[in-house]
Amino acid sequence: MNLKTRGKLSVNAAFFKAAWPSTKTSVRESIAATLRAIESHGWITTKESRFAFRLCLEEAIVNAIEHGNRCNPEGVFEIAAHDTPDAGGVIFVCDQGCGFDPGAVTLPADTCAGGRGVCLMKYYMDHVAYNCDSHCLEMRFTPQSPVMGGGCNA
Amino acid sequence: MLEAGRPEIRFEKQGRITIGAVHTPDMLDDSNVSQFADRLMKYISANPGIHLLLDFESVEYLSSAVLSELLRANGACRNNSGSLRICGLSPQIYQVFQITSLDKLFAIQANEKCEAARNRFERALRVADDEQGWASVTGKIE
Repeated sequence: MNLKTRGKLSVNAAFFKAAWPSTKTSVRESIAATLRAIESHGWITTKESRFAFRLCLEEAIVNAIEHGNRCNPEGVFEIAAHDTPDAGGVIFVCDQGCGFDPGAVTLPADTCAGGRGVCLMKYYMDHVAYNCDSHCLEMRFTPQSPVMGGGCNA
Repeated sequence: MLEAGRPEIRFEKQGRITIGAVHTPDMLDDSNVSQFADRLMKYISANPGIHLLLDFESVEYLSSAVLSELLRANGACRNNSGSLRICGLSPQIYQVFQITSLDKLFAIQANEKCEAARNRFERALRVADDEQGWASVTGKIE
């Protein structure tokens, strides 16, 4: 076991890590590359979990580009995927911005346009947090999390 | 590779309701949502009072960017005495609407075919007409 500490979390070494410029075309490319990697790693086993991982990745990446890097194409975002000792995993989406607190985000009123992406990530994952020091959004899951087709967080 | 095609919406009037069949090879996401929204908003602006039922049967994936545009379209319909409903969602997309509490706003029912949703929409419009009729009658009596 090759455990290391990332923030307060013990994780295995990343089995996938890559970086992209903060452009519109990077959204699709980075999602496709990450989905390929986590599918071959065995995290995605059903079309439901593929849908949920794709959705969480897109929401996190769009947040990193628009809010973290403020759409600056010279800004870079990085995605890393690690196994965790509890048979789950964690995906880090890191930007170069000042971040936000996903815990403070609640569902907006029906007429409000934003904020739903974080709520969706919080539903599918076991834990979603932004680390201000590393500028990374952390999406952690266990085998029971909805993203794996497990229990319900609603 | 994930490929996003240009989304199309084919509009067809059926009685008082207009069906907007959304056609996209796969997904509606951040990369093509603005094309989808432009087409939708232009049609709604050109048809004030429209009662629109958007058919999502051919859509396999959408993100929260699409939800925001649907809310904008809903507001545009309502501001002109119209309404917007959605039908034909896959179980995964239906769940997204449930998680964000938008299933009730768009009057979506699980596993309902668009034909049934259209009939339910027609009935709701008739009930609304009846209620308006009664309100005008009782208003005159008082």
